[in-house]
Amino acid sequence: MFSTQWSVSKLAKQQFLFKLNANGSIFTMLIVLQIIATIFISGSFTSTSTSDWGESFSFNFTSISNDGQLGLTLFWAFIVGFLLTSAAQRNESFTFVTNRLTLQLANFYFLCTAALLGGVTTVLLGSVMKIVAMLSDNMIIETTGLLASPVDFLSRIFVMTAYTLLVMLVGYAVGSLIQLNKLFIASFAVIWYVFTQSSFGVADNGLLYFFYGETSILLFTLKVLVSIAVLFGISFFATNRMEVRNP
Amino acid sequence: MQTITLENVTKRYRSVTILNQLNIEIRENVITGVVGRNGVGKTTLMKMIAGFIKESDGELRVFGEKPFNSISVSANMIFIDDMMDFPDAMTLEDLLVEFDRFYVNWDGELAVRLLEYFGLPLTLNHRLLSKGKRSTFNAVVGIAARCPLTMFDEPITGMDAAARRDFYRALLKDYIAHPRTILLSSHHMEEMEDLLEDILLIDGRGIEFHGSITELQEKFLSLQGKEDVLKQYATRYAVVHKSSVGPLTEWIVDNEHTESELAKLKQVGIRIAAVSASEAYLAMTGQTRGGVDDVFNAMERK
Repeated sequence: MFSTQWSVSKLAKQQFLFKLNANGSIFTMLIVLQIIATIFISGSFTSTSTSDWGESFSFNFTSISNDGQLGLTLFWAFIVGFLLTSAAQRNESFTFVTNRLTLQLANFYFLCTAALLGGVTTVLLGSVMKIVAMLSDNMIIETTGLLASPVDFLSRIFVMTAYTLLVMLVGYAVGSLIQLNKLFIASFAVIWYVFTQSSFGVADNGLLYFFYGETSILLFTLKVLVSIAVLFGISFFATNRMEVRNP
Repeated sequence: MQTITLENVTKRYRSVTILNQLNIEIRENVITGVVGRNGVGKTTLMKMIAGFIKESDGELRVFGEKPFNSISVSANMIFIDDMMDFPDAMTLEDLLVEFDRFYVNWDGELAVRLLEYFGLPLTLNHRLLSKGKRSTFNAVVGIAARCPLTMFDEPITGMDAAARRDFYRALLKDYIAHPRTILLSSHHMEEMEDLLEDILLIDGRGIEFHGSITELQEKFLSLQGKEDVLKQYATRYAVVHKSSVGPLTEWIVDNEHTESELAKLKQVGIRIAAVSASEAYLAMTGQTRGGVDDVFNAMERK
């Protein structure tokens, strides 16, 4: 009786392509944030240490980091995840052909793409910082690069992408729950307060340590995958019965 | 063949019942006008059929399937109104590409030609369009998508008279070439009555009337004559509307007369005429009785 039939995967792919076309500004935002981070935030931290073993000599350590860029990328990731759950985003998709499942899948593909881009550019910005350091001071740079240790370099990209995706899905799950019920705003505020005030988040056995304390990349991958699945599952069940175009 | 069937469908928002126990069957490839006063649930009904919102109770089937979360219904249906959301960054041309991506029957050439005719530059952003132009764009999209089920919810909001006339004409022409099931809601019954085959009149949470447009017209008669003559001879009929233009008074009454009664009315000089669909609609929804003047008169009396 239908003249048109779509499969879930095909429709999700089309929705994903639509989302890429519609949300180009999200990627522009990333580039702008990273430029800002490169120019204004990343500083070099100089530490001088003097030791006296018989004769006195001193070292000057200058460590230049791209922590600022990394922090801004993760901040961007959270915002992107949150933005994708907005009513406008939903309604735009429902202007065309979709159901809630294909919309969620398309959002997930989009987040993966954005995370990959965020991960790659952030790690590459490390190389930019090296050039900046070289231009500003005549110094010896001790760091690994793509040619010196490709596995290390690629694993950095992988880990950064994984963190970006994780933060995006946290934003996405938070946004989805808030879309379900505005009362979640209050509970998230409480959670945030508890998280920052207690040592639960940052302690050696805390939530964040669960990820950054992991030394095996396989276990790390597993932990991230499970977390992503749980977060996506929460978002999916929060929004699958949601009515759209509903003032 | 039925495109849409509703069995005892109810829609509630918390404690407020918008639509109560609806039973409707919409035939395939028929243009149905969905009419009714503000807030009776026309949009709610159409959004339910579109699968945007979920029925609270009852059985709703579109192409034999529950529309909520159905990919097939979404792919074969388009819902047009003036609140359609489009991405801010995209121009009309970009949007046409996206419609082509999703709608299999999409006729891009027709869309471009119609937009050109209506004076909508493809390089513009949807957000920058005026209210009337936005409605025009949405309406053009609705025609060019050629979906087996096409729904227009007050598509003419903000359009000027010429654009409205052209829209109805374009819709009719494309419908004849490519028949499809169309639901069309509007408050301007007099403008769209030539287009419609069936009327679905919603009133007070239920269906007041569903049938062909001639059936609706036949429910009423218009009696015209001098007021005292009407008062003398036509008293036993339920009057749904009175108006006076010049020396003549017009009463719209229920069409429940025998032939001999009508002959008698004619003898005393009362003109009997059929009513137009829009007059019948106004009469049925009570938009003609009393009126808003009563509110002000009541306040003055205080």
